[in-house]
Amino acid sequence: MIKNNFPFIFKLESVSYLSNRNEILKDITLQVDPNEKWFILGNNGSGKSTLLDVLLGNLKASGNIQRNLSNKDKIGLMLDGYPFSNILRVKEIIKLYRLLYSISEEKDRSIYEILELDGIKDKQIGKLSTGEKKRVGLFTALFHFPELIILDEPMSGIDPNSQFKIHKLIFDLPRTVLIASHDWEAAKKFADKIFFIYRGKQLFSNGISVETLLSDQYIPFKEKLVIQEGEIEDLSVVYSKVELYLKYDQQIMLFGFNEDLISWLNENDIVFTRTQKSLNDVYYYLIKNES
Amino acid sequence: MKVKTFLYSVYLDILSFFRLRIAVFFSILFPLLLFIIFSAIWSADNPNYVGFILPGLFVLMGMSEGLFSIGPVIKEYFSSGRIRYMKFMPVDISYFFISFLLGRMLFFIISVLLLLVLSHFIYDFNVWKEMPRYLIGSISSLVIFSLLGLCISFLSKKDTGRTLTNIVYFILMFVGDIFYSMTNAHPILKFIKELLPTTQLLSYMRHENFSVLTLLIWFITLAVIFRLLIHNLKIPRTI
Repeated sequence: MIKNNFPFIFKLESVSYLSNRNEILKDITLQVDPNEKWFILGNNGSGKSTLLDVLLGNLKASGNIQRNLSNKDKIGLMLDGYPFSNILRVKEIIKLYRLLYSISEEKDRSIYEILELDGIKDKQIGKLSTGEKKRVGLFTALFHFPELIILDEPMSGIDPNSQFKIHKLIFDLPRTVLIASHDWEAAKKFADKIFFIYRGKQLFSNGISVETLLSDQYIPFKEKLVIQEGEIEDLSVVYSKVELYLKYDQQIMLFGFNEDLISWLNENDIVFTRTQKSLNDVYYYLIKNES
Repeated sequence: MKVKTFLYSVYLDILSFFRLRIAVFFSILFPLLLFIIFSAIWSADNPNYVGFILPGLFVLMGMSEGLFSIGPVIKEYFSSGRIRYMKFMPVDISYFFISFLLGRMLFFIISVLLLLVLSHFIYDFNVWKEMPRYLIGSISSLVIFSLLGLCISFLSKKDTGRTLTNIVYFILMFVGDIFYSMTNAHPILKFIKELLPTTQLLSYMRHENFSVLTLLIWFITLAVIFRLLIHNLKIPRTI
């Protein structure tokens, strides 16, 4: 286990951040404790990456911000953008990082192999695909076994087969992890705490466990019916047969339905799926309430 | 600071530079080419021309390196957000700047020495006698023009930076006694010329009267402006 005598890693109280008179973060309050795995979830432009920068002190925000960070060699970062020169080769970057952190090739071998860097080691950074760049970025964030990992969209561009192995790399060790992401499924599997953010505002106080979010506390239904937008011309008929509906990603989620509705959908040849409620549902439910 | 890491970092900076063919051309081959052409034209009538053109080329190289290479590259550390990572690496942030500057300095000195070797072999120029003065003058020009390049890069917006640098570069080049002496120029132009660092650096290397005070004022002013610009700089979130 990580020896950490501090009660928290990050503590934010009423933190706001303005950029060009636009309030990017509004009144954020949270506390990240040692060894917690946090997922910061939100749609595009919600302020996830800005929040990471405020946590790290890269952006000056108002409010009370306290940090108990590990030594620099125990922090692993992958933010938006990369710290590498486009003209250098992958193997040169990796050698520099190994020298900077005094990590031998043998020690990080498993991470190097999981990220499949051998096949791209002779390529220049500027000639890598987005996914390949991401893999190099992940290596530099993880190879030194950091106690605190902060990642921004770590899996975008990574093929699904590799994602499981990389998630294991990130989450198998006891350490503090903060991930800003759109990856709702990964959040459900790996997060201790979820932090929803929408237009710079947090949707509930501090982080909340996946179990709590998926309990009846927010959406009091376990199942939903999913219909593609455009399948039904007059949606008012459907809406009158459910207790709650949400619309996002060109889909309509129907909660609190009964068997009558299913029969009606079948009778009218409307394609639908019946599934469990997800974190996305809770997010959009909270946004709807916010609006 | 780990020496091996530092040296490897310097090596990578030099390697990056060699991989940019256009940079190699303008930093090494272009000054050599200019030297050969200009000296071939003028040295037949004027045997002292080699001693005149060499300092001019050293200052020109310092200007190119400082204005087009060092300034924009260090600005890029900030504008690309790379600085956000450097802050959290297990060495001081200055480590990266020092290794980069040292790499460029080494490269610059090699370019200066190459030009001196060429002048010795073609014109039997007394390299050893002038070398200390040339090295001091060249390195001083690199320092001053790097600071100028940094100030221009950090002061200007992304789109205007290159244009502004070009304007400054050509003013310094044509008003600054680099290729020819401006003894017959209009008094106002001569006055402006005397205020420029190029003129003072060239005068020093050409064994003429020069003003240390003017150079010091340039150095201190640019250093202070750069410090203020860095202090007030906002690190952008995305590239």
